Amino acid sequence: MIKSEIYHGKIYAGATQLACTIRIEQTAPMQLKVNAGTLTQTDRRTWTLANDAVFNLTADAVYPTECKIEIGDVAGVTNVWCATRLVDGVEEFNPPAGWNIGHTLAFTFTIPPGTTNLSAIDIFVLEVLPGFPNPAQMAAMGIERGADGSIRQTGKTPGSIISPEMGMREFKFLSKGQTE
Amino acid sequence: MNGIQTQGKRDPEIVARQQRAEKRKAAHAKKPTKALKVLTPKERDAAVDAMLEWWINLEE
Repeated sequence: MIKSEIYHGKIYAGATQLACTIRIEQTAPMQLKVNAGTLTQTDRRTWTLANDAVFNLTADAVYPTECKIEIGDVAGVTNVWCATRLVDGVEEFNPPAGWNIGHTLAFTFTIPPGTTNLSAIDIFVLEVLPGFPNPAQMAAMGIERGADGSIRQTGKTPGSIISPEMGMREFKFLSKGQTE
Repeated sequence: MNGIQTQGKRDPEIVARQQRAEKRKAAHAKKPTKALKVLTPKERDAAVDAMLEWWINLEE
């Protein structure tokens, strides 16, 4: 099942330029469709996917299969890359030559051997929400806004939030008026 | 621009290493369970061959 949760793909843009209108959906038992849209990075670089992309996945009979989907470009031409590899101790992901990643759209998930329908698997995808979380959402995330307006982990000193599920990417929640 | 889909790549060095390990394992499995002196001449020859193969694979 395609989903997005806090610390698992769902992030708030805060006061940054981060935005993403690209959506991923399951369009057949073993098929994912990446709908056209635009990703804007915090540094304002954008990747616009003009056409939908459809990927058919297959499960191996013996080994689990790892899969992830990224948006990026090759020599400035935007595209999406669906990477798969067998988890057999040998195979590695095989990026296209010259691949320049913009962002991961579907975080690495594992297809067990013999799988015939992806709906049984949790597939976490990128979802960028505008602005800041409201107080209730912040409480659920274990963060709070300090008196100085900065966002911090509840009960801890001001700082950034580390999300290990996102490859140790550091997300900074900026206070109003701050740009980056 | 319809998306790029790739299968995993197999590093030849890792593949070769895995094959050597499998060969070693297979050769090791052929090692005689009986003592050499109680083997028939034919069994002894086969056992010696298996041991030699095992040692050769170890050195690769």
